[in-house]
Amino acid sequence: MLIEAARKNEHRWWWIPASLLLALALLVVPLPDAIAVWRPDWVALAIVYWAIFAPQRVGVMIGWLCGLALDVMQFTLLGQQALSLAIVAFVANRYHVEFAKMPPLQQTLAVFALLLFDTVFVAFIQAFVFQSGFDWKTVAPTASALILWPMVTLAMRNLGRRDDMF
Amino acid sequence: MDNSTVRLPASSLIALAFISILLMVVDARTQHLQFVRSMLSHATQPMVVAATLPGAVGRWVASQTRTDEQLSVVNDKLAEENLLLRARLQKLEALESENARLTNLMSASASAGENALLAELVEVSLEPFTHRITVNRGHNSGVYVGQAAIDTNGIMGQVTGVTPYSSVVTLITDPNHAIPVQVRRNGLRAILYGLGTKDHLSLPYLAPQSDIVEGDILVTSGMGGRFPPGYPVARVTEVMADANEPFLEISATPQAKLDYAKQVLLIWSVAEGPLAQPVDPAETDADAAPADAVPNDAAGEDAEATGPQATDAAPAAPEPASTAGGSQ
Repeated sequence: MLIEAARKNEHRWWWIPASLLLALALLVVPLPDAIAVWRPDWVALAIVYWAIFAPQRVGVMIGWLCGLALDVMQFTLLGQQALSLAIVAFVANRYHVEFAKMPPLQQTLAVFALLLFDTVFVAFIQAFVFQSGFDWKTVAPTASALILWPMVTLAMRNLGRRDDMF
Repeated sequence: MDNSTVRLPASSLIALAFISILLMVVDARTQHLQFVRSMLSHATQPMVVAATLPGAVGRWVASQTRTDEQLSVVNDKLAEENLLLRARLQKLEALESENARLTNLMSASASAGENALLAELVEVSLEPFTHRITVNRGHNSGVYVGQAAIDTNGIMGQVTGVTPYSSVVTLITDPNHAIPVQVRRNGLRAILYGLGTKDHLSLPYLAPQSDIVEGDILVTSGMGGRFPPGYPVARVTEVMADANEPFLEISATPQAKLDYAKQVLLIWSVAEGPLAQPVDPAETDADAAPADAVPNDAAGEDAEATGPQATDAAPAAPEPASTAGGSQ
């Protein structure tokens, strides 16, 4: 059913940019210090979602641009997160059929692997360029994204659809 | 159900990867992309504003709905605090003028006073392991790379990246950061290094016979020209002497509350402050022009990003330490 939804472009076109902008904004929303470390990797999550379920709209280029926005907002090296998200979008694009067909648990784990790649890739470049150490906290956003994935797919399935009241 | 629905093939990924790597190398090695970053930040700024708006509105509503009672309590407290601070300030002013006289007697260069700009932390989650924070003032407010950031307790770090509306401050705990300090008690000079952990700084290269004990306050020495002298930086927590080691092993903990600060003060020496800028255009023009033309050193790179003030901060003296974090 999901695959059909994606194929028929049932999502309203503006819902894709809107959700990507929302993901970027959620990155900046103030959180209490205690849970700020666990702030989910919203942008990567959104990119993976759309690269799987709207592969003809969101691909390498959109991933790269969102990554570039992240680089600007987070003062990482220009191109660092851009490259990472481009690769993630590429893989998700390439195997979108397989991803979409997977049973929920397996899909969650596969997405987690993708997000983990994103995090580790960025952290690796960071460590390589700045000779800084690696901290387990780096993986925290990925872990919370993992927990959120099923909810995100559920929410997205029902939001911004053509048959919606919007 | 085939891959033909995917518009962009692998070649575009390869092209983008190539561009990304090029960007990263240029960004890591030089300051040339500062301009691109500034331009792009104009595009991302609306998002930052939008995301922080609810919080700002909430604070405003909260401040509007405070009762008179609460306000008068706060007011009383502030008045009391003000009185105390004024009393202390009187003494400080006397000391400052006395100090200036003595410095003049020794014909050393008198230290100028400082201006400060209040900046607020922006909740952009930088990766937790980099020890950097983002604040909501950028070069539109005259912030420049290399500027010192403090809170009410001491030095927090220095500005290492500037866009028009925000800048990034590398904290003194960053593993790439070093700051020239001296012991307040006796003037012993040293360099304080960040270790990448929250309340742990290291003070290497002090000989075993150095006069430093637990509880000593380390203040900025002003060496290197980045940090204005005299601000508290850290407190020595442990001095370990090992007979087999040529140096003492000293750890210290930051004075500034790096975790809790929501507001940061960015400081200028009065001579180079944003207020001084329009006053003597002739001098700043003269300074800025050659720096733009010959961007071959640290001064040039700073000037490019920030304009005239940076040229004053640049004559980085023999001590290279404080520039360590400035590569961003």
